[in-house]
Amino acid sequence: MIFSDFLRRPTALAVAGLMLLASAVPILVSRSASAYTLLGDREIRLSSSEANAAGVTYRVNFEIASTSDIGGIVVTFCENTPIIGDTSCTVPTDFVVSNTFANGDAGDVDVSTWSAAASEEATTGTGNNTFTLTTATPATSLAAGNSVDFEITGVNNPSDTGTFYARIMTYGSNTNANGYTIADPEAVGAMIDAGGIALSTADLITIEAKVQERITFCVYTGATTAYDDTDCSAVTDPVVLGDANGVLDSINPSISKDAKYNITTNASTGATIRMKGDTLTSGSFTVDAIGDVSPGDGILEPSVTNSEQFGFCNYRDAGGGVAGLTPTAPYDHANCVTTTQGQGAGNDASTEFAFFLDGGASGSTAIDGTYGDVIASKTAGDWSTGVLVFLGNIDNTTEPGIYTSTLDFIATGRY
Amino acid sequence: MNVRTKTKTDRPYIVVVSSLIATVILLISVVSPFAVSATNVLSRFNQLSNPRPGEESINRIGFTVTDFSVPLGSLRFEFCENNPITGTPCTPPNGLDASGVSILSETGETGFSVDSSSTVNEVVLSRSPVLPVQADLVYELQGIINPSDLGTYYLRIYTYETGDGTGPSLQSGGVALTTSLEVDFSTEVPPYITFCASVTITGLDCTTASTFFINLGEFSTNTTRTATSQMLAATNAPNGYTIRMNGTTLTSGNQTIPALAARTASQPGTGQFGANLRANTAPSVGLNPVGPGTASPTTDYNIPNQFKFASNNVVVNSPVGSDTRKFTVSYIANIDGDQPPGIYTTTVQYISLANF
Repeated sequence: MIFSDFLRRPTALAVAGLMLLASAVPILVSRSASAYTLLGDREIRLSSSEANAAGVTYRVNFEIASTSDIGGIVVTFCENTPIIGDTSCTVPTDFVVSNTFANGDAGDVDVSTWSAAASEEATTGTGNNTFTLTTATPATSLAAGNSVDFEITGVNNPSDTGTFYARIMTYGSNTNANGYTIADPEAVGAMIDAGGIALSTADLITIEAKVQERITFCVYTGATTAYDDTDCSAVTDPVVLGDANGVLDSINPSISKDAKYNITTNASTGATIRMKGDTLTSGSFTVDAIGDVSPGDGILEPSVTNSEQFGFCNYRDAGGGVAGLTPTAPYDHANCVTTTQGQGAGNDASTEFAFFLDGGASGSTAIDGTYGDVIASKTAGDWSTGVLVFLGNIDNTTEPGIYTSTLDFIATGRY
Repeated sequence: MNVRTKTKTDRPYIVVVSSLIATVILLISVVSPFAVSATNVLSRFNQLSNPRPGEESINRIGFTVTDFSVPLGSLRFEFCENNPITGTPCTPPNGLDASGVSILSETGETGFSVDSSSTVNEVVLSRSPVLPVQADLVYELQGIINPSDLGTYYLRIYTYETGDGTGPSLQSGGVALTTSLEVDFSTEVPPYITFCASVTITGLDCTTASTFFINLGEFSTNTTRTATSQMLAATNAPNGYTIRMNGTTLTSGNQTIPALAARTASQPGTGQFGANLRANTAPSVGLNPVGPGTASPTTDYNIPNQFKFASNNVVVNSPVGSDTRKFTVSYIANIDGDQPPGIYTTTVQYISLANF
């Protein structure tokens, strides 16, 4: 009561007292801060700001302000303050600094051969929060502005998100540096340069996006369709095999290269393209599927005039899209690309063809099987163009008629 | 006292709010159509037997499951036009109709049947929940009508613990597939028949058929006079072809040398005019047919040293298409001692007829 009254009465005295106290603060604060020079252009770059992340690298970089020799560097991490000489330091929760470092020669002052140590220098909390780098042979001939650059590796970030601090101090000798304590940073010898840094951990931002399964497949005829054209309606129906009138010949082979396909997919294990159908047929008559030992045996065979042959090969159009489309055996003969459209001697370019039929047996993988035969595979990627090449030969007894074949091309991605 | 009162009034409130939040979270995770399954089925595909829009196709759906800790009771295959992302709204593809689906085959985990909850674009396969032991599963579903639109559409695969495709899915994954147009090939094999006749034909080349006159020389009662002509034929007629021989026997005014009406050996001193299409030794004349074709002389003209001449007889026949075949016709002429003198001639015509 007496005290209260006293305050109410001489307000001016109270204000004066407060001002007196304020004027004394600088004196008290500077008590433990010696005449160090402030480190220039200092930073500590974290490889991860994730709270409680392990194995984080702290890149320490600063410019010395004095020309004195340096024999030790101390970096102390505190949760509460970066002020040099502040005698309180709380170890950030779960923070642990290691005694390993790397790339010590990245700056002007090469500290790569110095010795590193980790210790706990704090008033509150537990865990190594101080990294000390020392050498028995101090760096000399230094100039103001010379940089020191090294990485403290294997640090465990504080588990709390938010700001924490570091204090960087340089000393003239390893002895002076090793004498560092929170209570008295200059217990053995004076600091040369020093400076504080604020750091921060933060929650990670998780960005989620979905890439949906994708396949686009287009079979078409005609040369004008762009390789990445998704308009699959450009199929000329039917594709003519033979001479200009679509007539087969027993003297010269007929080659059709009118049909092509485009495919793109992101299927992780790629896609297969299958061909399903049958050989050329006219009522009960057929043009034999090409074969080595027997018609349609699926074994490569060259074009032979005056013999019944309906064969197939395919190749990737080098001018159409990207690589990644690979014809599969037996429809992958190397000469397939050199065949010539139309009917004429040599149009087959000594290519060997195949057309595997097995009568649609159970579990068949032939062209006349349930799902057809694989003719090519495509790895995940942008558009590729495949060229479908068909061979037609007849012999002198091939029954006259209009022969047709309907072929389906089926692309299946495996995701 | 004040503090105690505050505690009593706040606790129920906190409990209620907490329960409400927990319930909402639970409902969102269980009921929401946007709930995302924990893991994907792997190596997933859908292989079509027929890629044509609007047509029925077998769908061979395969995938690999990796969760063996929970019973597997049902599978759901959802066809969508918009995207393959599981747990998002699905737009059924135009024209796709899976209402008539049935299981053609099962590989891996088996024992499924089509569940009655299946819809036009969703196929639910159900069974009594059993812990899965097989990783690679393949199901062939028949009776599914492809989308009527050309291009890409999607399949979403879900696995469930329940036996009816409800509840949270165990695993899921999307597949992109596509319809495509068929390619029709057309070509023509025209009908043809190749036929020529001449005294001689070089090789199998009809362009060398250029001589058409034979001189048998002077007849003798002691020696058989002989001559040959040749003809070549080929056709792709499915029912083959015939060659007929038309003409008369050797004639001089109203005098003739008798034609052999039946197969007969050559007999000098007897009036005979005959022919066959074989190599003969008595007399030595003629050649057997040559060439890759399969046509052959008819029986009466196919026996060496036996001759016959009957107008309009079929001398060559093939029941099927035949490649090029060259025939050599051997002619013999004998006379008896009473044969009146004169210049005896005849014109023999060969007619080929293909049977298409």
